[in-house]
Amino acid sequence: MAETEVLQEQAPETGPIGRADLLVAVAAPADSEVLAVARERVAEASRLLASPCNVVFALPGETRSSVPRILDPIDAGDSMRSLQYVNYVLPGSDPAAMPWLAESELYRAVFSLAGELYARACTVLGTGPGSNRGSMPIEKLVMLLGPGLEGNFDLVMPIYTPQAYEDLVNKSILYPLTRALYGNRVRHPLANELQVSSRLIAPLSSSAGKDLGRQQARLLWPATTAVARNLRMCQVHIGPRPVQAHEGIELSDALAQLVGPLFVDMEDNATLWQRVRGSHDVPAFGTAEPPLKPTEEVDVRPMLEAFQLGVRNLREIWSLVLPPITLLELRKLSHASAEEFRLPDALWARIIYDFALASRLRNIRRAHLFGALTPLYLGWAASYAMEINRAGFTASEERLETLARTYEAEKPYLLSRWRWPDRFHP
Amino acid sequence: MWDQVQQALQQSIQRVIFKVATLLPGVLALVLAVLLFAGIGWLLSLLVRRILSAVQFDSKIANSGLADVSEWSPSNSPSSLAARIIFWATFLIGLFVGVAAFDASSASGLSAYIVGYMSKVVAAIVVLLFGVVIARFLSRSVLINGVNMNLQHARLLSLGVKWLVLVFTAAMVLDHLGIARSIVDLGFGILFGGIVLALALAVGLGSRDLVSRSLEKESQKPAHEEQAVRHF
Repeated sequence: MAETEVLQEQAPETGPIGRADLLVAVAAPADSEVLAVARERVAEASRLLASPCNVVFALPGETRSSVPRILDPIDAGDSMRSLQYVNYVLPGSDPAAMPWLAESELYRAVFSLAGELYARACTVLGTGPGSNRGSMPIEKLVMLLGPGLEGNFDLVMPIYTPQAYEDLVNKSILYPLTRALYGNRVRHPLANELQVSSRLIAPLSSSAGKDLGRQQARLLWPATTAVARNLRMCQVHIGPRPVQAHEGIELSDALAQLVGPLFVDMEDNATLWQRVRGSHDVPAFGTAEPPLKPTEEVDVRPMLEAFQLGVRNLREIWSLVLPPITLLELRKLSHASAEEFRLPDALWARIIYDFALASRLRNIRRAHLFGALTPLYLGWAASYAMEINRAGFTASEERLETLARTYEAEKPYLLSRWRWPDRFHP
Repeated sequence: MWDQVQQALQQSIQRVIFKVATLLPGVLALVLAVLLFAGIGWLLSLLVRRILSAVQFDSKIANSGLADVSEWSPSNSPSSLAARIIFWATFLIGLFVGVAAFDASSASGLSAYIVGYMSKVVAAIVVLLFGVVIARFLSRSVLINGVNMNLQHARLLSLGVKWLVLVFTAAMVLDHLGIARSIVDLGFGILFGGIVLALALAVGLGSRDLVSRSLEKESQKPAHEEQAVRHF
């Protein structure tokens, strides 16, 4: 926080800011160099915004500023544009153990601050040690700052450059499931960067400070909140996703932390998603970039072995979650050779729907539920990686589109099981 | 001679009838007490269920982070758990009252013994239930984590843990009930000590190479996987 202290020394104290047009927050415990770059970029991008506005730049700090302080005027000749800064305190969650929950708490703190400043829009820039969104190209930063201010959109979500073998939990579950449930094709429902308008700030910050407990910890799903309120959203191509430093987190824990809250959200929004059929595109701005070439081919053997080990040992636990026909199909798959192995999309979609239902019915502990999902997920990952190995990395987007459509096609199965969970499913 | 036999038989029958007649009010009192308290318990549990449902107790528990309570509860509902506890507690009180009434009518001093032993039985049942639940929980945890750690013998390990806890629980229950205490102590000590010694010998001598190979494999794996695939 050395940079923050320097800035405070330079800046004369002002009175309460009253009303800010745009709050831009660096949502990460970044070092002074990163913050300085981010500040310069935000100042530069603010000058390029179509309408003059009063921008407040929020930095993480050890103490909360009582009043915002002037950082530097954006344009001396233009009294309508100004850039001020304010400190906010990072929430206390341990990012090493529960990174996504820590991010969501951080976002809530930022949105809460935006609410206090009566901001018309709030942009959050990146989290995590590998993220340095302040240094993204100016034109992309402007795209992430402008829409909410101009009143065109209430939520701006990023589209990251596709990478065939990365972000597989999002590719296999988060994206296709949220798309099938809520009907909006938001590529990264759990993004590191986003902008929300004043209409979305209040609902997203409403749970700030509320103790939801560890087990029921909620992540923020801004796209779902926007759909529930019938708000407009768009997406912006902003380049590659920063590498997330999540070392030391077990895959089963990651699934529990990422997919668990999505299942809890499904329970809360059951009346909403049961009415939705199909999906539609969300407007996207900027230039879509082709998938990045992976550094090497993936060796699928370890994932395949993990799946086969799961089939041999976890059948009894899976039988609490999955219907007999699915268990039979999994058993057949476990006998397939590595070359022939392919987990059908329809089977995978039904497995996820069954796990969502089991999470709702709570007939198995949550930790066990996601532990039991892990070998199945690795089976899907092995199947996907083999297909991409064969077809080439450029086929990854097409492959994901097929998977997402299958999720939509299998939604009636979810509806049926959700409404009549006790009905026999062979 | 025949008259004497007949007289003795008549006296025996009279004594039996007298004894049954003496016990009958007690039995009736026992049945009535149990039925009455079961009814009261049912009403109380219904009332508790309604009140808890009105104050949305289940969702409050779920949101308070006490998810374990929900997961251990019947139908995953803490309200059901509370209602059932109330019902069975009232039923047990009814049983005690009935036994006391039965004892008063028969004047055999049985109730003091039964009540004293019943408390031990109840505690033993609670220990047994906890043991079974813990055994199931640990067995599943070991199995799932073992599979996710790529342990080939995860099922065997999970079964071992399950039976270890069950045997431990059974020994505790029998000890608590005072059944064959010395045999249970001795048997359990030999069994438990034997299992630990066998495992130590198996790992230390027989499976030394296997364990070191598994550890080597485990330490090399993440570096390779990290380069190729990123799950999150």
